[in-house]
Amino acid sequence: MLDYLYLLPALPGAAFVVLAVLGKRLSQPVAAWVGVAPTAAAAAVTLAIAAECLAAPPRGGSFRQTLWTWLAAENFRVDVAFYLDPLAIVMAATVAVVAVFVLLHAVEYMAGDDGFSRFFAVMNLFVAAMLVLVLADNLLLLYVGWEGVGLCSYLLIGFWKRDPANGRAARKAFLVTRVGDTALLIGIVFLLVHLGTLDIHGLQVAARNAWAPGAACAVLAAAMMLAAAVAKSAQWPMHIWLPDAMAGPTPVSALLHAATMVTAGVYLVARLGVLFTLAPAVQWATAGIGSATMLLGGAAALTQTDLKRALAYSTMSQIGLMFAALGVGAATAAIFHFLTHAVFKSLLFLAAGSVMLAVGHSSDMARMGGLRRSLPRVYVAFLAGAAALAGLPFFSGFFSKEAILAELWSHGDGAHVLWAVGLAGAFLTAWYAFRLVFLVFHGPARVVVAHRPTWVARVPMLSLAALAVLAGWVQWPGVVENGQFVAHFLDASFDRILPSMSLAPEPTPATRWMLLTSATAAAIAGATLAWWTTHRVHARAAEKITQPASLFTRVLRYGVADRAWRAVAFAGLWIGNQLARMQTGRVRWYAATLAAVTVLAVLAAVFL
Amino acid sequence: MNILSVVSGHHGLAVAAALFAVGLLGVLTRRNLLFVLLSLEIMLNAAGLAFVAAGALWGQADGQIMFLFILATAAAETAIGLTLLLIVFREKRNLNSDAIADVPHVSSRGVKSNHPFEGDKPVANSQ
Amino acid sequence: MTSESLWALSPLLAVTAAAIAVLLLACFRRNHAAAATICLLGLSAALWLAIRAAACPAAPVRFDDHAPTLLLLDAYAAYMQAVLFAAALAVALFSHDYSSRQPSHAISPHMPRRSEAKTGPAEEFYVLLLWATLGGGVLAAATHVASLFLGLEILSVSLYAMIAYRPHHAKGVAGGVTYLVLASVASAVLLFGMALLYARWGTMDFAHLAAAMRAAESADAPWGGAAAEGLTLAGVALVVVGVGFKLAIAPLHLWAADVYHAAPPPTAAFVATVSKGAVFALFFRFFTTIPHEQLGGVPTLFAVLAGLSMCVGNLLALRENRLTRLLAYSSVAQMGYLLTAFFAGGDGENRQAVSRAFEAAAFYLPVYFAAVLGAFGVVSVLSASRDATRDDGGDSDHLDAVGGLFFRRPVLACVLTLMMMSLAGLPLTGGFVGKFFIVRAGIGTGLWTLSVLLILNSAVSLYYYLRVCAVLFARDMNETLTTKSSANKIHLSATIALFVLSLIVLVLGLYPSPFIEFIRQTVTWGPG
Repeated sequence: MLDYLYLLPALPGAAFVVLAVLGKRLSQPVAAWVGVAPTAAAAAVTLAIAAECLAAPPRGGSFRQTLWTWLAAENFRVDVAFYLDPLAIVMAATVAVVAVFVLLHAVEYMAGDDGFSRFFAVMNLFVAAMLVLVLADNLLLLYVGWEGVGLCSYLLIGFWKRDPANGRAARKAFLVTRVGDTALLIGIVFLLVHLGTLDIHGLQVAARNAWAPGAACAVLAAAMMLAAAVAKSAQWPMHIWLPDAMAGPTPVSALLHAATMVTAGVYLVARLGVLFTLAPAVQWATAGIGSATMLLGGAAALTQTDLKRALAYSTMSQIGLMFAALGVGAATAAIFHFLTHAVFKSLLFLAAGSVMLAVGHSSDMARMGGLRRSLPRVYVAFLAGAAALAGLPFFSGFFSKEAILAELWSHGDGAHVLWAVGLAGAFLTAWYAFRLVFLVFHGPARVVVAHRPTWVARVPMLSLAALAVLAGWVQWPGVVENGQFVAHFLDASFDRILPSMSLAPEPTPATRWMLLTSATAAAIAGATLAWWTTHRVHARAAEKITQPASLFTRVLRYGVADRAWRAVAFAGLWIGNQLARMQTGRVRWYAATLAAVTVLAVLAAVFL
Repeated sequence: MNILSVVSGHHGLAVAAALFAVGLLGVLTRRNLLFVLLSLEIMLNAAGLAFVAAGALWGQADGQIMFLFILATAAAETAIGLTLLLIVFREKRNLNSDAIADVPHVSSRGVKSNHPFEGDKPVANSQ
Repeated sequence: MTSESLWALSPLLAVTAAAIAVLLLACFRRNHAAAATICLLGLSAALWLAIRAAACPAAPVRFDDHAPTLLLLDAYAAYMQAVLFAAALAVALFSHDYSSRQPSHAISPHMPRRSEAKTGPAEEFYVLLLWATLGGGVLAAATHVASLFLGLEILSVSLYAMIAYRPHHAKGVAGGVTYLVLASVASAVLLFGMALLYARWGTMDFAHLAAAMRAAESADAPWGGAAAEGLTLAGVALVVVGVGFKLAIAPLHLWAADVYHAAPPPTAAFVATVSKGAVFALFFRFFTTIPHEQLGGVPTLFAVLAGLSMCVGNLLALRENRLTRLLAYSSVAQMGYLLTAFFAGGDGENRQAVSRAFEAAAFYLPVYFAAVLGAFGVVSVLSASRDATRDDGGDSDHLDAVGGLFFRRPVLACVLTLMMMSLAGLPLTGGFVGKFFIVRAGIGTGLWTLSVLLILNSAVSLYYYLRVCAVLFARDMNETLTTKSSANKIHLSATIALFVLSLIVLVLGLYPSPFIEFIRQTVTWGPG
């Protein structure tokens, strides 16, 4: 079964080719089949491979499949090769399964759109690129996947071309992530030049041998990787593209901007864990950026009146939590949270999509309200997702969030601050999550429901809801054999090269209980506050309470980072226009510049 | 007496440089295309003179051979140049070099709508 | 004249023979198809001979051994010539397609109509093309100031005529005059610089020049002290300016956009590729042959210009709406990238660094050629015949005119998209691999500024390349503009050319190893 690893990106890739070439000639049902079936097959293959690896782990804990040699020069070679270890399995399985559900939901969401085939073509290309990214054996192939997902993101955000605002949002996303791509490429070449290889594992071994912790080279390389991850995962200060990216169709937001593409940064940092442990300063930066984003995003989500934007800020905030975990070296916990987050966030977006369809393609929450009676199953799904997001006990999010908070507490001095910030973030998360639930589904009904979801949309949502509830239980001791299933499974991935990346030594039972109860308390407190502000308190007073949070929103939206980006873009265009004024078309002017350059060159050469 | 020992190569180079500068100035200041061609010719010949002078400095014939090459190619260039001049004259009835630069294609201020973030202004409700 | 020198010269001889054959044919009987065929056959033969010379390297042939060596026909020259001839072949194919659609009165209203001449006389164009290619080939093998100048002038003079080839087309003539004046000035500057070097060192052969510079103290030098140093520096600076003009690097780039816009698209393709490539080949040979110690700050100055080109080219292209001008500005930037490969060779003393730099440059050159030729080819194919009579050349290269092209001619749109992606350096195309190699060579030698600038500029450039692609796929563009130029029939020649170029871009992106091996094994860099 492992030999079919190449099918994972190949199947969606083939779907892309077929849809791109034949798209216009296919009817919508056929296009839907071509769009969803290959990804479903890939997901099945992934799960089969995962099962096989669980039952009989491959030799050495990992499996490598080389397709062909891409580049070979005198002292390095880069193959198109896929690498499978527990981390890759978890990532690939998550991506594939979530993608199947999202695509299925999209069949109904995009029904009737005249870009139907094009949509599914680009989505399949995205899935293929994302799978290449997570399965890549070397950094260059990872970069190919990285660029591919960025390109698909650009194409999908601006999918509805009639409104120029979509194009602008797409360009903005593109430009900001491009900065990250630049940093990534610089980092890759730097690593190649200094360590001689781009093979991810060979690279890390070489780095550990060549560089002492804190060495300038390690710090530079890790900083470049962090910059790339920050841009791709919409962390502060490169976060400004994510809220605007909600201009794309909701399935795009569900798959790309919640579950998979934005978490590519998390994957990158986790994968290159050794490099980061060699640069403690960068690790602290990671944790700091993550925590800051978590708070800022959470606060901003509190003040949104647009459902999708709220979920976008929420995504930003949750990924901040993952970054904070990575920053203290708790990669296992971070990846576990990625898994649960992918499930419940995409669920929330899909449910939001169904809600938007019901109230007439609008995501403005002023139009929503009291929908729990007219959309009961959507309500259940959204509620499950929100509970998981909030970290209510025994939902999946609870386990992963608690794991992270435990790690934050136990990883050394100063980390207590991070833990406190994480707890505050959990509180905010529960608050805004349930605020959304109450605003959308409770209260008076404002609009007559236009469209109820059919089975095509209901099945994915309810399946994801089930996963959102149950997925965390694999972590509960006693459910699967030796308990702590995901943790141990993932540890195998990290232990091979760096023992300290696994979960910290078990804290004392008292500390454990303190952490558990504080996390639970934060979640319940947040939910209660949400109930209170939406139900019991007048809207005006509620706004006053959330007023401080809107300060954060303004900082995020129009603050320094945003102004800096605009200034850069504007400066570029202005310089270009000034340069273009030199193109007068007059020969004598051109000759004059030529003469001037000659004279200057001679003088510079002789006298400098 | 060998003339080369009277007029040293150094002076020849200086004259060549001066001629080159004169030619360059001519290209820059003359508006009539014919005179521009003339100045170009002067520049090329100045370079040729420089070669001759340099050859004289070193006592080699290479410089003069190079001058022959330059002469021939300059002539070819001038031939094409004069042909183009004829065509320009036929169309425009004058040889003003500034006039041939009618530039409908030069986009003056770039395209405003290219601004990547344009339109992204704060709207009251959407935070 | 031994048989080895004949074989070594054979590519150039093939081109010359083809040029003479077409010229004679045009004298006796005008037949566009026959002229095109002879041109294509000649170029193909030259290409094959050059590849053969590159792949089976014999000892480098010095032409000529008994007199000053004008041409050094080594594997480097053969490889460069092969690349140039391949590009010229593509241009010839495109010009066949383009000329077949030009109505005869576009060429000259005074030409008497001939029964078989539905299109204007194009035979001379092929002659000019072949001569220009010959000039380029000579430049690739030049190792002496005389052959440098001859090759350069043959190339340039032919280009003057090629640019202004449609005399009824005012814009084309204006472009030709512009290019003539500026290129002549640049040639004169280059020549004067060479003269100064000759005056200082007493030799016009590159190898002897290098030897003299290494020896540094010539017993019978007529110079001494500061004047001597100044001469060398001034001479090299002038050479750099002259070369820089032909390569269209900033701040000498002003002519590029106007000339590319004014010239017929196949000519613009030629200027963008063969002309620049030949000058680059010569410049690479020259500057890696002579030692850099004597050159003071000139290499640094040149490096600054290269970095400037990257930025200026990209910033100008960001706001450009006409495809030909956009390609011109992007070529300015691409030259900056290519020059980064050269500077990655350091000061020429470290053999390994130089060969790594050369590999990067030798790989990037065909990739750049293929992408630019493909892009200009699409523009050429789209040029409507009725545009020929308009003074401003019509709208066919305005971005709005290609809007929604995917829905009318999907294959062309995909080809153009592929070329844009390669120029941008997106993975899976040759452009990515090429840029990767250049950056690797650069960072390997510690050339941080230029390498980081390259990566940054690649990132910025993706914006306007993607903008072109987005326009191609846009659905609701102004329909009236697009339908006008949609009725062009594409000849088989252009189709073949576009197909082969796309194939090259894809293969070099996905499976470049054999080609890289070929470069490394056969074209080992040895200063000659």
